[in-house]
Amino acid sequence: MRPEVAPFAAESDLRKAKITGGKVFASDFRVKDIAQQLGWPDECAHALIIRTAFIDRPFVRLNVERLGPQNQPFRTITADTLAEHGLDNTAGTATGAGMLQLCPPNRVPQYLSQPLAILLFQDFLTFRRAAQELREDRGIVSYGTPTPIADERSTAELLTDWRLLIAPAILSTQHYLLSLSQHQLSSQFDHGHLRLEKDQFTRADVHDPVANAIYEELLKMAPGEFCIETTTFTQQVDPAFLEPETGLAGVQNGTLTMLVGTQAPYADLKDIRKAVAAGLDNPAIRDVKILSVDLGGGFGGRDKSPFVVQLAFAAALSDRPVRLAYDRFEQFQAGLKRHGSGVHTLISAKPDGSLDRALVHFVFEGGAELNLSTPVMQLGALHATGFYRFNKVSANGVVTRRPVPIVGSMRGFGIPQVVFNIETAIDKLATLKLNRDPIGVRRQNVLQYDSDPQKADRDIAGTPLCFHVANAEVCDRAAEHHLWKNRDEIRREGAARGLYCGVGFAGCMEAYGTSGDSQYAAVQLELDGQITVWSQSVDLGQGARRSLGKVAADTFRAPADVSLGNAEPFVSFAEQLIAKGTTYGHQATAASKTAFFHVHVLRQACDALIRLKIFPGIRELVNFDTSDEDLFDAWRSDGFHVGEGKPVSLSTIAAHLDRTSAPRFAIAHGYFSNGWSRATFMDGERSFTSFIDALGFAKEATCQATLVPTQGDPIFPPAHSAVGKTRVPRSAYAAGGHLVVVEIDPKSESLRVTAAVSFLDAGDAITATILHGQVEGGFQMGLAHALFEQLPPASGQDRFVNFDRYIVPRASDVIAIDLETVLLPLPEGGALNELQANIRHKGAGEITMTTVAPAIANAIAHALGHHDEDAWPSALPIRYKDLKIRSRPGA
Amino acid sequence: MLRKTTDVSLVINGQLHDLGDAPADMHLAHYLREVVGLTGTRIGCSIGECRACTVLVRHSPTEPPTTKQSCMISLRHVNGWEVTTIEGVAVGEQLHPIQDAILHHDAMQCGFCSAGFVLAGVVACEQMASLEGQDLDTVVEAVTGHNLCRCTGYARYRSAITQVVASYAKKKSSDTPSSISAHFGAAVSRDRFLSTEMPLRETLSSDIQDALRYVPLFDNPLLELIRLLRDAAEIEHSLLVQYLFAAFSIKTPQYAALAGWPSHRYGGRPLHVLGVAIEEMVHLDVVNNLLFALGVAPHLGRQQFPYEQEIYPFDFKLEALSLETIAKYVYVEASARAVDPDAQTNEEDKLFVERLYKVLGTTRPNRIGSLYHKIEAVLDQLRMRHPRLIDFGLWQRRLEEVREEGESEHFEFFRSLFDGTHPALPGLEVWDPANRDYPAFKLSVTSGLPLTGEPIPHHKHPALRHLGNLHYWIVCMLLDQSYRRGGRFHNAARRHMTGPLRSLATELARDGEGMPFDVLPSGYAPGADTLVNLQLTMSMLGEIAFAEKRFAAFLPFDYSSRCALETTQELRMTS
Repeated sequence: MRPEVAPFAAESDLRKAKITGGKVFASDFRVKDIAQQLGWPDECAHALIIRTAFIDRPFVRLNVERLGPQNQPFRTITADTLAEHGLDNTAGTATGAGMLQLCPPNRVPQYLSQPLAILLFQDFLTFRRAAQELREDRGIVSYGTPTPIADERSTAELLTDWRLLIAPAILSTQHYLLSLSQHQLSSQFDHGHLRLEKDQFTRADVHDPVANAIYEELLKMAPGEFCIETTTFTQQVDPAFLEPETGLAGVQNGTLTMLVGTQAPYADLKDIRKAVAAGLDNPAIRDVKILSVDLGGGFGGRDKSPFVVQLAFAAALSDRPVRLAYDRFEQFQAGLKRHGSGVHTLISAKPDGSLDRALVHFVFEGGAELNLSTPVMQLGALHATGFYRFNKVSANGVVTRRPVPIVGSMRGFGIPQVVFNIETAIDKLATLKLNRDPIGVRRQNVLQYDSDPQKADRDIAGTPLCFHVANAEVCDRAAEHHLWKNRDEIRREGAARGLYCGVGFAGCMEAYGTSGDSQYAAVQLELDGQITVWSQSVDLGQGARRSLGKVAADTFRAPADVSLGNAEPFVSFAEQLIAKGTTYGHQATAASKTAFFHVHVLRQACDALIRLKIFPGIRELVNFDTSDEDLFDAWRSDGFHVGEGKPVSLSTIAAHLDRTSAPRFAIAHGYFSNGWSRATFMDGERSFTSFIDALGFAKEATCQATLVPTQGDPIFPPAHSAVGKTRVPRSAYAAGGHLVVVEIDPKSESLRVTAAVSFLDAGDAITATILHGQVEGGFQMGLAHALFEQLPPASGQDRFVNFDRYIVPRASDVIAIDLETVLLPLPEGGALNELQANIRHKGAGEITMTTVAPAIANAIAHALGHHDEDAWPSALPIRYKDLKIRSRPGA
Repeated sequence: MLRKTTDVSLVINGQLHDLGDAPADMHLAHYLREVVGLTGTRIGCSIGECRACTVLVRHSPTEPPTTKQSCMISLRHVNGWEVTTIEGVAVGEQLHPIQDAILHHDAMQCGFCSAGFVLAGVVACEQMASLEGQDLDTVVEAVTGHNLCRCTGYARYRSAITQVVASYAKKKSSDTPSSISAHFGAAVSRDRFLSTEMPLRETLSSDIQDALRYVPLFDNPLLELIRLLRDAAEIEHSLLVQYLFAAFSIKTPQYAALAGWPSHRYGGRPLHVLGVAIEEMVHLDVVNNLLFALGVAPHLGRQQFPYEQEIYPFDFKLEALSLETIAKYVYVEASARAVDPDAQTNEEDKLFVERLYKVLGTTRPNRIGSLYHKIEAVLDQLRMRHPRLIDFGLWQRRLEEVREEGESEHFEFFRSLFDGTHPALPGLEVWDPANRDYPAFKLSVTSGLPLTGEPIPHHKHPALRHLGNLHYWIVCMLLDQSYRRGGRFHNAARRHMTGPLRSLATELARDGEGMPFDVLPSGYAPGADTLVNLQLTMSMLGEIAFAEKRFAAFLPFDYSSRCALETTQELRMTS
């Protein structure tokens, strides 16, 4: 069996289609659009998911007959139906959590909004009318007798327990403990992974008295002269991408084909195969194929969403193709959410302003365990002390499991929650305890990178920061900005108008990528001289397609088409690598990694094709031996100006390569973990060294690529220290920050941001408008998190949430804000320093939003006169009524 | 009640679409996407909030177009509309300047919202071109400001659209807006007001008069019909307000399924109070549209609560949901037979009727249902005299639907609440005021009208009551205008009702206060003619803007101050 993910629309720029009504998103497609291609019938069934509104009573049965007689489904799928047909109800759920996609009859549902059944309807109108009746609850679900359940403990109570490291054993936890003290060194990097067992810490599974002693010492911290205590809470947030999840699926000739727009089609493919037991126990489905289309927004909320598994179940048990289309109510009810949080910190400094110790405990409010809740919490832990150097740190995170809709991946991936705390805490410490300029204190204490690991500062896991991160520059640029310099004048000027005005800053560094990133890219010179690019990335609005297309077009001086979300040609190539015994994963994640990851491997593939195939082709054509560098110099948009005659165009070279059966197609694999993989390839007599580990060529994409042999084994940077033996959690970081001006009007009881500056360490822009768009969009989402968004407390039970009550910013809330962007340049060595690939771009999609909320809180504290610790708002969203106004404006 | 739309046609991107048997419960966005295949109109929320589904609607060739949220508009409301979707904006490969500008500014990211922005931008261009002296930023904000984008910071969209709209302002429209287009008016013959040779009391059979216990007041069937229809309009209006009040009193999220939500409804009887209220608005539409078809002004008036109609055996007033109020709703929606103690044949129904009268404290029979029987009978008499006056078959069907919806669907719904069998209720015991799961807040009602000469006190509750009244009054004024113009302002009226009015009423309910829904003493169409009424409606929108500013500190978080601005711009474009 060969699973396949394939693009359905492969244009280099779909923007025009988006503004003229072209079919772009999954919700635009109907069965008839693909029926001929797939051999499907023209009509499809419409699926509707019945969800539980209770978790205190068993789901007994469905009374579908209570729907109007004209609105009856032709098929009802329950957990029992899945079992009867050998489908796997656990597919797509977290391992070991015991979760099920569909709650079986006579069981108490595991979480609010858990699916109880999938109903299939003959036609659209019947489906819509039935959906209306179901939403209005005609009692088609019979429940058993309620059993009183204990009231859910508040996050504040859970945090109180967790500060004593009390939490149910079932919950995921993460502990980082770092001590730079010469007589008491301790770090994950040097000594191994830290765990708590029977109230004692172990390192690398061995009792660690040093770690325990350090923790005991930190536990003695108390608010005082140079120590500040901060407790913050952030709210659960819906990603609110504008296109509700939608897809088409059908089985034809043993192949289940799904047309969907998801952020991780490769991970989805694995879950779908498990769900339908493809190729294993299910003779009806031997193969699974995904047609990947662009997403109408994602923000992490479509990364391993259970939606695709539900659609696969429906299609596998239908006699015709199926369309599953959530509406907004369902999307709010069932879609992934960002964790709410409670964070407690104690941080201290020495009298000279240098940060000394930090003790952090935080609780993330998880939901049903069907997504990436644990990795989100773990990344939050890694960022719990921001971009600061402390001598001794203990950060302890736990993520709860609650019977509410799925909580997991969303833009920021756990970092905004902890940064809100640490960045307001630092502001308080600097202002109230040290009586210093808050940016000055930050600048004094930010982590500094150095390509020499002995000189480099270390992140909280003890990993030396050998790669570039512009923490210091962010602080410097913010400190010298006129808004910061004039902050007291801004405050005075506001007071003269009866307003509380203030300026606040917050910064952070944020890891990009995962701890091990496997990337493929392929490129082909077409016979007409144009370029085709294949990538595993997907486009969810971040401009992946255009960025990759631009890189290829700039490289080849020719138009480039980009095909995203592909399995082929990569699956075939991966099989060859697997056969060779490679151990890294081959399923690239697709979320927000275009600039640093996908672009890098594409550039290497392009470089290989040019140097090893195109340039030799030119030399054969013109019988003119010249160096690669000279050929690059001779390359114009109309071709290569070599010799006396007409320029040699790419189409001429392509024709020559085709005629001589030489490759026009190159495919490459790179792996990033603490640095890019590297290899020297031997293509005949020619050697080619590149920061990739596998390279293949083929006559064209449809042919099997031939692996290019390497001189020795590829080199993979050490993913862990020799001593600690624990994988480096992250090594590549980008820095960022926001400077924000707020205006508080006591008359209208309103709070608004009037100006902001976004500082960003993103490297060189591939397409400037795309990068600036990320900055603007990230700011809007940060503003929404800080001042707007709030889900009803009983999310999942309240199935009527929509944009009338879930308020996100509109144009008038944002455009009046004077937003300036300050891009920080990379040094000559690029993002990774001179020993590694010279990469000029960093991941920037998430850091653009992370520091908005703490910067607003710090600006509010400034506006209110830093009167006390509670001048800083401690909970999101920030509301006027929660502000502690103690004096008149300007006082 | 599932209706078939047999009398609606509209133009979509230049092509006439006769809806034929298209279902009337389908909304326009689904018709475009599922029937016509124009999937470029995207649906993001289904409640008119995100505006991804925006389409351009031209009501008259002499007026600039307006935006409509196609996910909220039933097909029955689109008759005669000229709709442009995103597929119809470009001419061949020639993009509209707004499309060009959005591309040039790289305004979109994921692009799911972009079709809505394009259509809103195109409308803003035409509106800007239609009238001199408009403020550019106000027009752009009014027409495009509510469109939601989650990816971007809006700035590129705004600058792209503003730049293009500004260029349109330089062009003076050569078309002079005319008075109201004739095709919206009903073509009725002049003799409809003349006395008839055959007095109604003689031609209406004695059997019918006996059965209905009814003697016509007038011998002219048209006069009599107008009288009855205005009675019906007052009743439906009163029910609409009462049900809205009740819906806002319900505790959420515990009873959200009972309170209801503001999306377009598909088919079937509603199972929530807001759904019933919306159907009452549809009933009000039918009655007023019939009045207008007869050449008579719509009637939005009603008496101030509480008032005692001779038709009810109890005070009719604004009350939170309770067993007593539900008993009243059961009573007013029931057919005479359904609550006639002597007509019950099984034990369950007998007990129900017994309980009902016990709670009501009366045994007087219900006459509401018979009002529509009377209207149907008189309409039939009118048909005999003037068979071509209106499409009698159509109006008879619509009136039957209204009657049946009340007597069957609404009655059954309220009876299920009264019996405690509604799926959202744990049982009858929940209506015990001491029950901890009691479904509604207890609300007190204070008039939002200040004493003569007194200002609105600068406190939260008076401020919200006043602003709520303003939105209620604007709903009534818009409906009045809308009945005269083929339903073109229904979308706007509903926007005020389910947006700001809902927000204010919900906030008041949290504090134990009810929205007063005070009657506007000056009425909802006090102008001498339609254009003056339009201007007065805009003036009322101005009152909202003033009040929003004055009482900004008290506004609920989900209150949208863009609503009045948007409606003002829409009215400004109406001639």
